[in-house]
Amino acid sequence: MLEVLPQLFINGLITGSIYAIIATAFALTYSVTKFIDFAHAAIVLVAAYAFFSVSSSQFPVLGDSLFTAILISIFTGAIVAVLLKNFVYRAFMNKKASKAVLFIVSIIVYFIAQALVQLAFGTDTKTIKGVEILPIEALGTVFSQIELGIIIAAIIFAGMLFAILKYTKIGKEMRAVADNYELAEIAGINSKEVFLKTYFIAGLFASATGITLGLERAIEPAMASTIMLRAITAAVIGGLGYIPGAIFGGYFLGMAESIMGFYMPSGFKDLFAFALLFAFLIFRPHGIFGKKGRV
Amino acid sequence: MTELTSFIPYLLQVLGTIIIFSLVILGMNLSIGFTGMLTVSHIAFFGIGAYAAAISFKLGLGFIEAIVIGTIVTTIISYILARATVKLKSDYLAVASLTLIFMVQIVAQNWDLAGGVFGIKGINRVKLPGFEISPITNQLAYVALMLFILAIVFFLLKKLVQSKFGLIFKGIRDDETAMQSLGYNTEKFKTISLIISSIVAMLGGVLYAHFITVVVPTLITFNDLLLVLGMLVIGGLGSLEGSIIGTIIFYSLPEALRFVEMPEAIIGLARYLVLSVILLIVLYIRPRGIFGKVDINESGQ
Repeated sequence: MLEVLPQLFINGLITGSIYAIIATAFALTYSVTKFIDFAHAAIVLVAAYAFFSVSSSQFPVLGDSLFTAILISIFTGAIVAVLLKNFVYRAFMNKKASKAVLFIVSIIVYFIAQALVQLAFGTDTKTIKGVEILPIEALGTVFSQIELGIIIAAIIFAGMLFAILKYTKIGKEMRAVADNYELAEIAGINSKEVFLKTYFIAGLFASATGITLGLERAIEPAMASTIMLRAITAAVIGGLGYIPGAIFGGYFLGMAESIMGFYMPSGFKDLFAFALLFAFLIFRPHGIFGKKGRV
Repeated sequence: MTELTSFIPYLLQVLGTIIIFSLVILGMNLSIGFTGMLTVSHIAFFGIGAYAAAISFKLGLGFIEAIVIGTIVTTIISYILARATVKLKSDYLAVASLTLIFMVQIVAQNWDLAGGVFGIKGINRVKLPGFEISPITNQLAYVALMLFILAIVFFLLKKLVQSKFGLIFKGIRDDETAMQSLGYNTEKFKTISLIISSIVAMLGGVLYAHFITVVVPTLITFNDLLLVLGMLVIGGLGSLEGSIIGTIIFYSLPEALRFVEMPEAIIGLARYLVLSVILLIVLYIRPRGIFGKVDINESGQ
């Protein structure tokens, strides 16, 4: 039994990396705009299917390079996130829509994205072509180069975000708006612009999730809602609105699912994350770190 | 004559479906519209009701037993949901109630007694004495029974929202802190509201199982949230009459689209897209719906 543990650990680290990336996107916009935005799942879909289209396209320039495919789809997703913020959410925010309305709007936006993807690509699962899977064996575990790439990418993403939040002007503005929206406005920060930039960054993260899902597994329209619920669960585990917490929560959830899932009947494995969410809400509602809403 | 005989089952089908949806929407309105608790788990409780009826049938139990079992299960689960969320910001209830939809579906798919992915088929229609002459008269009698149940639920809910309880619910919706300072245990009342509203939605599920006679896991899907939210929002929050009318309107919209020429393959998705856009527009123009007393909001924290 014990000899499978390193492999479960590696698997958990891979899933955890994906969860951490999407949980960061969620926690980032939640801390700034203060509403539960389910539409990150829409961005996950957009980027995943853009990635699929580009990497399976006939144009040799696009089809040949994995790097170009990733770059194109990651920015497609981020731009859609900005458009969504600028046209849909801004319209509702201008009308002083409540957080509850915005939450419902974000779910409808996701439904629309999902239906459009189903219209364009069908409901079947698609695999990304042209990705070579080279296995790496280390310390009694097996994982692919792609998976190693995902683990490293998650660390780079997290590092970049912390650098942005800590050392750049926009990072400081984002923290100011997250901390106290009105005070930030008084200090001369244009909160609308901050929202947009936040959405661009969160869009990059959500897109990265879509791409990693495409590389790691096959893609299908229904995957986005499942991953989004994991993101929210991870964010609650780490303390809703607290970004380092969300990242930790992502890894924690990935590991816990991988290790506990091994001992659970296969179908019920998916219940684990939700059971964990309820356990946290009842016994530790402000997350492992016990911090209430800050960046 | 042949037209009439095929039209009546269709009409009964539409009427029955509207009655079932109405129960779910009435339940949702009690917690979202009257108490200001943003929860979307009523689809899950609807599913629990449908499975309670289907499993009761499988075990040889009847309609009434199904309602009793469904009520017990719903009370326990909605109590846990309330226990986990009423003390916290409304965001947590929204999230936890969302996961409940997925949880019920996962259990339904994987539980042997619930028939796994194939679900449970061939559930009996409730036979009413004197109406067993033909399937149509029996269906007619069953729809009448459902209408009777809906009327009773509507009447009881009306009494509830006009009672002292109802006033407290609305007080929590409008200003929870004020209610707390008046000495009310708002957590207790929110829990009560959530349990009652879940039971009402669950009843819709029990009726569904005996009406459609097939219960499958895909019955409880996240995507159906669009339908119920549309019915609730269009009808209006905080209005019981609105819930019924909203259900009729939002249910009829895709029925009307049925007559628009479209390729067979995309018809479902196209309808779904149209409904999504309509709901977005309604939320933008008039978030309180036609008869609504309040905008969608969360109780003050």
